[in-house]
Amino acid sequence: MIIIVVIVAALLCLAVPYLLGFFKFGKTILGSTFKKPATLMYPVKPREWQERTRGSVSIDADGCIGCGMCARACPTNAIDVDKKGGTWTIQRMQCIQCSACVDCCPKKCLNMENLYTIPDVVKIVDTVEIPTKAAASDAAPAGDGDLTCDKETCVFCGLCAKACPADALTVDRKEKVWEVDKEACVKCGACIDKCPKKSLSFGGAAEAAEEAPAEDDGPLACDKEVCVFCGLCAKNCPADALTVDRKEKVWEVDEDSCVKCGVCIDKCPKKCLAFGGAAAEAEEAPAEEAPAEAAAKTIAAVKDGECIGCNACVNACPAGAIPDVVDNDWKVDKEKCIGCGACVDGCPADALYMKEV
Amino acid sequence: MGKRTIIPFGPQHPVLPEPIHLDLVLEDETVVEAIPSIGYIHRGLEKLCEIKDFNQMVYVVERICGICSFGHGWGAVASMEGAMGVQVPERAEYLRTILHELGRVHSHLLWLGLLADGFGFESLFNHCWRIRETVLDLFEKNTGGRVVFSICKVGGMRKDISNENLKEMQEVMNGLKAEIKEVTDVFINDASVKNRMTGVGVLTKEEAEELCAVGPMARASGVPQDIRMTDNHGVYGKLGFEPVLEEAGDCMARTVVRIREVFQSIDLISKAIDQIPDGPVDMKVPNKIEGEYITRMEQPRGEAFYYVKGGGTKFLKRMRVRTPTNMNIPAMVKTLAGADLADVPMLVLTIDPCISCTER
Repeated sequence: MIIIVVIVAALLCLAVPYLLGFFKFGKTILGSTFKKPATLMYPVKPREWQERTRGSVSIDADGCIGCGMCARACPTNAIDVDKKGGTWTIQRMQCIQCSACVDCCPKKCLNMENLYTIPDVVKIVDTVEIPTKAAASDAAPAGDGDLTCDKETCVFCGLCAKACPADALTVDRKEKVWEVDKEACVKCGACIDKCPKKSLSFGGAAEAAEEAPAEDDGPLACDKEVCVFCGLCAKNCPADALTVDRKEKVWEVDEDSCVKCGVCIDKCPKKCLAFGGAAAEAEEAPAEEAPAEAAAKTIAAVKDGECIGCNACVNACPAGAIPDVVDNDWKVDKEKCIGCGACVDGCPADALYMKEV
Repeated sequence: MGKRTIIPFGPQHPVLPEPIHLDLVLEDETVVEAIPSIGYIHRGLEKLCEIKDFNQMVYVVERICGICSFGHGWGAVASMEGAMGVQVPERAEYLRTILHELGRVHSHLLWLGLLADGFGFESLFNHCWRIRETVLDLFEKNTGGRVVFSICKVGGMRKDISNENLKEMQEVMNGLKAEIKEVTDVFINDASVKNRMTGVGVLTKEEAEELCAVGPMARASGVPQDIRMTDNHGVYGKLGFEPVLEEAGDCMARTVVRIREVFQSIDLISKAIDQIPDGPVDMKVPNKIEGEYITRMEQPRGEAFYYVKGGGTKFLKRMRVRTPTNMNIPAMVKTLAGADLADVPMLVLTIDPCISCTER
């Protein structure tokens, strides 16, 4: 037996060069004869999943608030959410593993698992029990009732409507209108987190109106001694109530348009904005000399050898203090620099920082 | 004139992965006329856009075809982005180009396998598909899906691909070149393969232009027609793209065009990975579509066309996709007339038919 095999092998070896002339594939076939199979030796060697492999959707039922965003995002209508009955149902055969539901879940309780659904002879429908309204209100009393807005404190800035994943809110600053579409509202609470005035709550204005009045007294005022007229406040104002002109050193607020949301105060690099002219004025006297120094105190500077010469800072500088960068030699006009830090924010290479002089 | 016989070909036939029916009118062994009929797997994509919003439509369009899935997804989002008037970040454009070319490699290798199967070369078929498996693994690692990727979205990409993964992809693809060459040389040099394909089903340049052939079908007849030559398609303008052309116009030329495109795609992927900039891959887009827009894409099978019309809501008013196979059927019918009955499978296969695409 062995002898026959040896003879056949020897003949084959002799014939290889000859055969190759006819069969261009001979070499590959011969090589493959002695190789291991290209297929995985399943189930001895199990399949290795990649981190991103989309196999099947799973749910962390405790976190689910029954908002139904997943059911609406699903392109194949595979998911059904019954909020009253407290169930979350997925038809596994209909699911196409696109993970649209996972991406849109406001509570991040849906996950994409690597493993596919295990085969079966019937179409699998998985039903998971989710906390019902009653159970949820036990756990978090604040989550009860419809979304309401305390119109006394509301400034109609519209940030809630922008944050709403279900497009359930309508806010009109001019008409002072705040409306919620109760059918569309999924009670995820994203708007409550975003509201700068804490006017929103589920089921009544329980926790509203506490800190609002404190901030609210008086119109928006700017300490012009400190102000560098960089215009970041005007850029971020949701109501377009601010006018800033660097050249003319003008800072103006249109009090009728101002919604007192406080976004400008957060954005101001020099912290020169505040509500309540009185408070600002009171501070103004002792600060009278200091601000002039403060304005000149910080200027932009570059870390050695980190500048990539992209000129992003040149475009970002509101004061025109940075000349065009040539051969990565970064310079700043110390006279012109207003210390706003816009160049540092704009630098893609993290090469700039603010230096105290 | 001999006695005419009509032989039904398909919708079920060993060489056809998807159902198309041909009535072959024969005189003895020669086909004098082929009458195609389609409509076995119509799925009503255009109606679906009334009940699926534009984000969901991307998943629907991706499933037009299991082979050029990424390209269809890209075509759909590109036309919607065009209607919205948004320009996606550059890194997203690069990633789309890389994945699209990877899709072309996988599509052409699949087709080469089917072709080998079509002329009865089983081991060649298996080797083509073995190599294709490496590409599918790359897809699974980077996108999460093997054939349907769901990584394109209106406004960019749903996930970024890290630079390390891209480098690995570049190495793997460049490493594959030798393996692919070993297999594709057989197509070009093997005597039995040559006998089946050289000089069979010649489509002249004039005929290709007249019948509006697209993709490798047109390029094999010497028509320089490739949407990747235009600057506004992905980042091909920056990669220095030149279309692959062959002059002969027969089955062999169509095979050679696809083989050369596999290598070209690997080079394009490699170049794009070298050039890819850092940055965001996603941007915020409006949640409604207004206006209309047309996008043309170069799919592995040729030029595809996407039309969207929005009505100011999140639903599209109209969506239309014209796929490459649709355009190549007239050319196929032309080459079938006068061919031997035994050559019919080769002629049907070498247009790389994707009937599911055609019927949507």
